[in-house]
Amino acid sequence: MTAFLPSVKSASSKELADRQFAVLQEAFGQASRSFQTEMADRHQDFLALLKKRGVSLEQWTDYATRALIGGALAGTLLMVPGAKQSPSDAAQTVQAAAPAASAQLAPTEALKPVDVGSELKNLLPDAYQAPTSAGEQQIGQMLSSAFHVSAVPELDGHRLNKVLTVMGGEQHLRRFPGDVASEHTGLSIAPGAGGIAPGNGAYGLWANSKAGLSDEAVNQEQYYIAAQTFLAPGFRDNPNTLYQWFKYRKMIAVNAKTGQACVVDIGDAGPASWTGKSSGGSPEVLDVLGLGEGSRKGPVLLYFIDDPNNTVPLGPIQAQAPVTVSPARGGS
Amino acid sequence: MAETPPYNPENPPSVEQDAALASHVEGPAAPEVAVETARPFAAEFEQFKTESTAEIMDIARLSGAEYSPEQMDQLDELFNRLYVEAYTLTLTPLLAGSNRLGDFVDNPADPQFQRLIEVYGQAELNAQFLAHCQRFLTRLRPQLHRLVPSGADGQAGP
Repeated sequence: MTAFLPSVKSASSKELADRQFAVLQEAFGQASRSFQTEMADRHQDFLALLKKRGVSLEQWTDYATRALIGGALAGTLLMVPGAKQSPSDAAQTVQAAAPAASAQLAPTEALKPVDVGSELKNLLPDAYQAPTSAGEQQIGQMLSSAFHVSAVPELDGHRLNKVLTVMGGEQHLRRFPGDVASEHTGLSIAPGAGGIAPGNGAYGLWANSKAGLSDEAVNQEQYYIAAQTFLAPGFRDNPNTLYQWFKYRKMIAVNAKTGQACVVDIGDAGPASWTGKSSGGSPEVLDVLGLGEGSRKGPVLLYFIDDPNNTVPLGPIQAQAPVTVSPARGGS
Repeated sequence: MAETPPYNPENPPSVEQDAALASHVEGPAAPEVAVETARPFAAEFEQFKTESTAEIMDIARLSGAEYSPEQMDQLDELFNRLYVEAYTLTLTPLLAGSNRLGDFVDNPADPQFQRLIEVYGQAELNAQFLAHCQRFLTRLRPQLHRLVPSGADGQAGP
């Protein structure tokens, strides 16, 4: 029924399944990271209650999964849904059963959030002071480790004019002729919030009509940044090549004060030097970076993501580190 | 019930509204063991999961991938996790600002769901829950489609 290309046939169905399943796992992991970010951003009262009980959000989610679904874990756990056992008690149980609870992450590992904001305070004491060349590398290594991506200040011999930028708020970009702000839905912010730019972005429209708009294009606009590509080293010598190279180039944007981060793409050129700003973020990007309120401006690190297979999805990303989970003391 | 405002995640109920909610429905307290209670959004999630899994399987078929039984089990676990995340994102704003949020933390399987339905309406709650689920699918879909080689569209071959 379906004909496959020879290149596909060369890989076994198991290899293809493994490759595809890795994408699935990463996507579900991304959903979990978005969940954690949203809870941290919007439901501090919930997190405060967890803190009071001495459990992390991840531990609580494990607990809730068992309480609501049970499933594979039910037989291995002592607690039953609805029983009078607090999450802090449950955390011990979860810890004991952690290998099964976090099976989607790794057989014997769980992930814990990393406080990138604190890490940055060490590496970048002044959030507005550009790092040295060595500092750029150190920060890149820290971001790579924390976010599990390859974050580099320079890629393929190209770099932006700045790694540490002052990012301001941008409007939405038109994706097709007649696109209006209210069409920009499905975001964590209100539909249409942020308005829409009167002209097209530097790379033009994404599609000729609304019907022709792909999911990828929707994501690219949603998480676009404006970068001063025209000030990038070598741009004047080779504008056409660099224009194409920067177009929709994937980067990680990190709030230099708080560590909040988002995987973004370069979707526009700007802002002008005289504005005092050196990058711009879509309404969604600003929101993810914690800059959506007040002056809508702040210091943001921009690193390229070396992602030749395009496996890192655009959108919020949370820093996490694997921790080996050992059985609770006294556990049977 | 008719005067109850629609659910707005950006504007969760105040403590006063919450108190009104708590007194809105009289009747026996919720059973302590919630294992016998129908899981909130169970039908909605099963449908979402079935359709999403079918889509994932279609893409696997188009690209020639065959998942192992272990991977299918793992996929099931991943969906379970997603259910809990969407469930938490749906209910937390409804319970914010009241001591019922603490109850929810302690016993996530019993958010006094029936009372929430009375106040916000089943349809509205379902819509919120599914919106969280769909947001995930919207982001997953293009990633998976990238794995399908061009030409492997079931229409024509070499």
